[in-house]
Amino acid sequence: MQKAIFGAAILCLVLLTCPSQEVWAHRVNIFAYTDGDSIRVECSFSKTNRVRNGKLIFLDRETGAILHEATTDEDGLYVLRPDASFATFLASGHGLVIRLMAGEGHQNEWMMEPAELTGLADLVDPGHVTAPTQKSSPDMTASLPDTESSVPVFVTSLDKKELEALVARVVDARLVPIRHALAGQEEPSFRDIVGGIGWILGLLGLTTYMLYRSKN
Amino acid sequence: MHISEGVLSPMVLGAGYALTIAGCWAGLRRTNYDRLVVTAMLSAVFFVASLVHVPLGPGNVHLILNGLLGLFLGWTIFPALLISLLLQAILFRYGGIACLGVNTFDMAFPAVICHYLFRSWLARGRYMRLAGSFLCGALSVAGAALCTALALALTDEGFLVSARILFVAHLPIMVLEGVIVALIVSYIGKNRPNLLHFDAPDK
Repeated sequence: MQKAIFGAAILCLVLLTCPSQEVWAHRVNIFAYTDGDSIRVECSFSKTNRVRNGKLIFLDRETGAILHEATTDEDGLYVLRPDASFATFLASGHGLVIRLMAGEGHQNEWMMEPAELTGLADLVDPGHVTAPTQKSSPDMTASLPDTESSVPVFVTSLDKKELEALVARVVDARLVPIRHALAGQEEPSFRDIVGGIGWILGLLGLTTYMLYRSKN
Repeated sequence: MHISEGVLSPMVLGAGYALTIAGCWAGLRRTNYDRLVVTAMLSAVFFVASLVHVPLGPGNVHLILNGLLGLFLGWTIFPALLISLLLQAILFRYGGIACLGVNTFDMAFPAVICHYLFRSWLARGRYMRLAGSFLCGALSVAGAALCTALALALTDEGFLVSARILFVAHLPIMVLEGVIVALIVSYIGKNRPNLLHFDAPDK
């Protein structure tokens, strides 16, 4: 009998270590944000389990048109660098929907507002400089007064659009952890769990009361 | 086991609701209102069980326990699961309102079948009781996986591929739940044997 129990325990352990976790997940999570000249998409089943080879579809939120299709990598990531084919969409001012299909009934979507994509619209615009850059020229350095140091002095000039793009990029980078934290708040809290049990007990009480009244 | 919103076709969603309504009607007609507290408690157990993640191997698993509910409740599992899944959809965003019918039927119907297959085993001595409760717990999960695969196959995913993936992935949960249901039934058989008498509600 003890051998049978031991064997069953070993079998349980072997079975429990075999399959992947994806199918057991309640739901799949998707999180996307703009990062400079790209859109980063992060997909996971839980904090530690990433969506590998999940199918991603990028859609125009207003028209529903498919803009791009891709799959996530081993870390559940995909980085989209919009090219010229995105110029028309970005210029339209529409929002973006990123749909994740992770298989076996798991699907989720992430919406990006048009305001989040304005920085990208500027970048893919062919008539615009792609990124704020430092401008320097030998003439400028030459025109500066001589100093005792031999290190050349570079003068940086940014126009208004470049400055806005630079600020937007820095702000986006700073906001990523906050957005992550907000997205992570969707996990069930203790209050939700207790609230759910309270609802069930409340329904029990209501049913009991109605039965009691009908009997009397 | 929760199918997400937007995955299934409207036809499958409608069929799921129709079957779940029929199951709830059958469940409410057969409910033994003297055991209403047991029904509510098991509904709460199901609601919480899927939040309990057991760390095993490289990842972790969560419980379903539809076999436990099916064994004790019979057809009454339909309204009990419907309430739990509705609350999970609203509070945790598991599954969704549109696919509530399909998710309820997927998990409840196999448990009802297992109830009728194994409930008589509980009165046949200790070993048969253990075997019956183990099989009820394990096969209810297997049946739920097959029903889920069928729902996906009726939309756009291949049945055999989905069924194989879901069945293989749920093998450990089948074993785990079989053991848990067997332990619970064994404990109840010793301490509250009257809870294992099912003849009164389901004639």
